[in-house]
Amino acid sequence: MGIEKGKISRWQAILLVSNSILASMVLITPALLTKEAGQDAWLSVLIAGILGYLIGLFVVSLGLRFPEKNLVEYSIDLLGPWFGRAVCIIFALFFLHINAYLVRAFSVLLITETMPETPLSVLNIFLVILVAYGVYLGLEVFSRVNEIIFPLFMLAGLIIFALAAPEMDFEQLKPYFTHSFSGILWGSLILASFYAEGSFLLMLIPSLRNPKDARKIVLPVSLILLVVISIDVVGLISLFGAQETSRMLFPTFELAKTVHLGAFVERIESLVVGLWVSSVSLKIMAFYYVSVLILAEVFKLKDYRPLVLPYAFVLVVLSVIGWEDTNHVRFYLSRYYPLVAVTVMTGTTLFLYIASSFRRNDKKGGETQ
Amino acid sequence: MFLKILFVLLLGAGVAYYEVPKLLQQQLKRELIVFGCFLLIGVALALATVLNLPVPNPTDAVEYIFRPVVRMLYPG
Repeated sequence: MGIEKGKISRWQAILLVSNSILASMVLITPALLTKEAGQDAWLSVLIAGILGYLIGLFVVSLGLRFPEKNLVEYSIDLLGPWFGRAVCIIFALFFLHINAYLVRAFSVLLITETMPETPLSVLNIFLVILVAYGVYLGLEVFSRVNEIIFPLFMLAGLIIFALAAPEMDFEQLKPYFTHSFSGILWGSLILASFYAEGSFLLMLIPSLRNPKDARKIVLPVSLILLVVISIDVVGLISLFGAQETSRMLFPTFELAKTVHLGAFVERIESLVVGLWVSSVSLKIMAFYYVSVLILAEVFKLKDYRPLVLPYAFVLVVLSVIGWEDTNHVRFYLSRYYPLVAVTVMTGTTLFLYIASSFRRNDKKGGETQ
Repeated sequence: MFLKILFVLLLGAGVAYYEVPKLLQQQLKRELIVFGCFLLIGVALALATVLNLPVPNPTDAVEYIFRPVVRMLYPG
């Protein structure tokens, strides 16, 4: 048995995974996508949706080969104590790095849009304190909070897009297919790298109330993501045009700024910021939790909680020094991050999958059925 | 500068004060050692950042490893 004794239901897992992928995807990717694929970005979204679904199925089928064990336990079984641990540490460090860019993106949004005078490190420290508290309380707690926050986040998004709809001009989506196919593919790779973040589910499968349900998580999650990100991208392109969207830092936020109903419902972007902050902190909590849990399992600890607070120091430092400025974050996300995410995530998963296929043919393989 | 150093050290001491008695009480030696190492790394990194010393940056490492591929995909 692993460290975590808490259990989450299938519905909680669906919402947690969706939130953990969507929170940053909704805000960051439209600008990167329209830069690569222009008004054909919706095609990238469709390709990435299929890719993401396949990645999800693949990740879950690895997890379901060992439904009672988590990532660390079976990679040690498969690859031996040293190599198995090394693979897991790569996973944990990768999630640390993802967390660092998320914390950075959070403070970039707050600084550029709402609090220009506040230093970066102060915002980072406050967010990380909040997140560490959530992780300290455990998996069950933040999955339940997520059960409340995520539907609210979706509802707010829906209302904002519905209010902005009258000003949209769907002619801006034309002409179709004018961008090079490589640009469209690169756009879908950027999006797929966000989907690949969902492979943190590997650590959660043993915590599901019924681990066999994991396969039934993939389709709902992919559908939620596909619907939300398509509405997002299509709405943004038809409101601002592809050129304009690609120049913005957080286009979805700019969209919320344009919304007005009559003369009194205006400037509801603060609502968006509030909900986005809670949603992104839940995302960071999930990755923080997974990363700390992997480290605790690797070092054979009885509890992951002693590692939570020291990890916070490292996270704050990395989020401050990791990138020089906002442009660097953006450049990193559009050029390097897709390659890194796809290589590390699918690479390690594929590697473990192949190793487990070999193991299956051994005499021990019968146990894994 | 001095205040920042003090802040980092106080935070580190606070974390140790919060965690160590619990671990000692439960006699968890392994946890204590790993916790100590992690806290040392964390505080050292934070101090180095505050003092403007060079800190190993994972983003640079990632960019160094993947630069050839990105150059290939994006000439110029």
